[in-house]
Amino acid sequence: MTNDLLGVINLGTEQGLFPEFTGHRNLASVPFSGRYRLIDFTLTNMITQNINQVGIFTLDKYRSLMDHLGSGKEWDLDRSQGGLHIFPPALKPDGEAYLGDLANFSMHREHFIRSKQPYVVITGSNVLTTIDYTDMLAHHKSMGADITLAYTTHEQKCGYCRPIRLGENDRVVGISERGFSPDDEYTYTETIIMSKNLFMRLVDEATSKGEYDLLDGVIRPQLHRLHVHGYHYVGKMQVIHSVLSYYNESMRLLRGEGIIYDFPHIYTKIKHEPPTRYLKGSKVNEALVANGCKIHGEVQNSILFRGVQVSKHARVKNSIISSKSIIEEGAVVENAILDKEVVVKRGQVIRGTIDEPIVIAKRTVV
Amino acid sequence: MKQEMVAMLLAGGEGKRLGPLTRKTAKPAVNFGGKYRIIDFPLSNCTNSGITTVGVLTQYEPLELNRYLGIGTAWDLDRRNGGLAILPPYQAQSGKNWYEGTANAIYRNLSYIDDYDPDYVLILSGDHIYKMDYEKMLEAHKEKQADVTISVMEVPWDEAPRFGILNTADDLRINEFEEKPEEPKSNLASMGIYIFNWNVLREHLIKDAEDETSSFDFGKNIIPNTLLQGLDVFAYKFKGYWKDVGTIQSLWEANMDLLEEEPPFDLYDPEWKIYSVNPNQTPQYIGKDACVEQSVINEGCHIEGEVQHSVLFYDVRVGEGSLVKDSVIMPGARIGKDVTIHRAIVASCAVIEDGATVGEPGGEIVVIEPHENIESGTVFKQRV
Repeated sequence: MTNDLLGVINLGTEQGLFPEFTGHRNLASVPFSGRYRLIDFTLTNMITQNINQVGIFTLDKYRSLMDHLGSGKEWDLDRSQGGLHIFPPALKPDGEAYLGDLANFSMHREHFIRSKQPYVVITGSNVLTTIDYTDMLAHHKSMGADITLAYTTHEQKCGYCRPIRLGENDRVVGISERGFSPDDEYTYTETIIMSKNLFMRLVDEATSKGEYDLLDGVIRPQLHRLHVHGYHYVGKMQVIHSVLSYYNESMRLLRGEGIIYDFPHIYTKIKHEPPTRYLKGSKVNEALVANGCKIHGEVQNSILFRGVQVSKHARVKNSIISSKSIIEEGAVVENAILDKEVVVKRGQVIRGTIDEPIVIAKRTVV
Repeated sequence: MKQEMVAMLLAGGEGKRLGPLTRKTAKPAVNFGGKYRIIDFPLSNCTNSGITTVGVLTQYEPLELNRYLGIGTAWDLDRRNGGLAILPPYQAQSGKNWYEGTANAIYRNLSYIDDYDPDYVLILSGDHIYKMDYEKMLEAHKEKQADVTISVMEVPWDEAPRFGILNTADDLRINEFEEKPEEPKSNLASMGIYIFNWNVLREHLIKDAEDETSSFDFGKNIIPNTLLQGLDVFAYKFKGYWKDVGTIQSLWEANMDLLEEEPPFDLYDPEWKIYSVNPNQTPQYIGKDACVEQSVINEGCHIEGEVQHSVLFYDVRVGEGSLVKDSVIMPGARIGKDVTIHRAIVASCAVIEDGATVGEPGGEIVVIEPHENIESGTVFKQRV
């Protein structure tokens, strides 16, 4: 079964978010939910719907992302036809970095020319949804729209999200700046479908005028001219853009409200970790635990990534512990987010609050 | 195309003594250790030893095993040159036959090996749990300038009569091979792992194939013949964990070994990873009133009850109020609420409904068959 959609994952709009965790990686490769990176969710959603050609447009700090994705094998995207394409940021002839995503699309326009799919679906990595792109495309075609944006009503009204206004027949009549006011009803879920030809025409027009942002520079100013349609998405949405949203969205997973159980499988890089060992005296409750962990102490309402060790008499509560971190004997970690390979020495205490979880940087020894 | 050493892995074993666990699958595909199948151990050993050409000989119930092996991706054996090849019996001009014995299985694939023009051939089986560096064994083989090297283990003297025993000189030269001797002269047991110089093995396989009285078996024919001929046959001493998991009892014991505080068999060595096909499961979830101790648990499990001293494979559910103790629960098994399980092997996708009781403390190991359904309230202590 072939698919008419070319997948585009645009990481350009996600720069600068959640700086506590993106010092050495981009947001797309931030670990989430015990064994995944944020990018895994969008990629999984695409491949489960038979989108078999996906381009990822990066702007910066993509080493970790490239390491994670490799040839795309784990997502079945190591194909001789289509498959995974990772695009480093295009540079100006003088070597200066470009400002935004539009220039990136423009410089890599050859990719779009070569691809055979007549439509593009453009999305990011930090708004997790299970949008049915195939259904959205069918809707797009049946409405005769130029552009279709997905929106949701009932989910969070977070400071990061962009409210949209809908007119008659779900026509999009306004797209606001980020940030929600109580009057706003609809949230844009950062997913767009349009024909490849229109997409390329818009990119070319806008770049020639010096615009650099697809949504603000191209779509928003032309709402009156183009038929931009809304597609109502009713599934779950999780948005990661800051320490607090990361923490709260992670904690939602523990209450069974997260998106991870809405996918039949989620694909990610394989680490070949053995199963997790629970030793005598371990006490674990309300925890999401990946493989390769060794737990001797107490874990409550927390997420442990692959290969975490919680030693005897150590206590982890309301926390997120990234892979290969070690909590030594008698140490206490509460309301905290630990990046990878952190060591909390014997008897040390790390304590944040629910409203202000403490973040410990990668490879810190406390 | 030349490879210095090619491994041939005998994976056609029926594993009769594993009863229901091998009714629909070959023994090498039997689950072990929360995540693995038996064949993962020799295959991971190959990869970790730098052996990249592995022929897997299949025969008995191969479908599940074939699907599992694929093109060897999980073990990094999807190679342009060599890699993993599944070698089932095939039809030829000389006729169509099943593999008639371990030696016959290799003999029938002479041309597969010839294609790689190897200096050495490593013969393995898919029956044991162990970690071994075959490269070190090859070094010993070269150092002794041997024709054949047989990997051996010291076993307790009183158990020696159950094994193929090798009697050696001080320099480990083997001068006698005795299959299950009543009065053993040595306690060095053959592990069924051999390195042959390819020209020597080739010649012996051809000769053996012409012998109508032969049972075409390495232990019974090939090894004794090389000794009779006075070839240089040496033992290679292996120290470490090595367990035949050919019976329900030994399979259960080997799983329980993993639960020791310092397990005799370490799955957690980053320098010697055991590879397996990934089932892409979410992390395990341990519920609010759950209690988990002394256990090995894999991804995709969802536990609301109590799990004590047990091994749980991926995607197992344990409902509220249930107790799982001293047991092995294989992939996809569903354990309802208020269930009690003691000393059991619950095979994959079995369903234990609410309130059922399986096994008993101190009792025989009970096996619940794949896809078996134990109805609500049933007390199932022993299979009659």
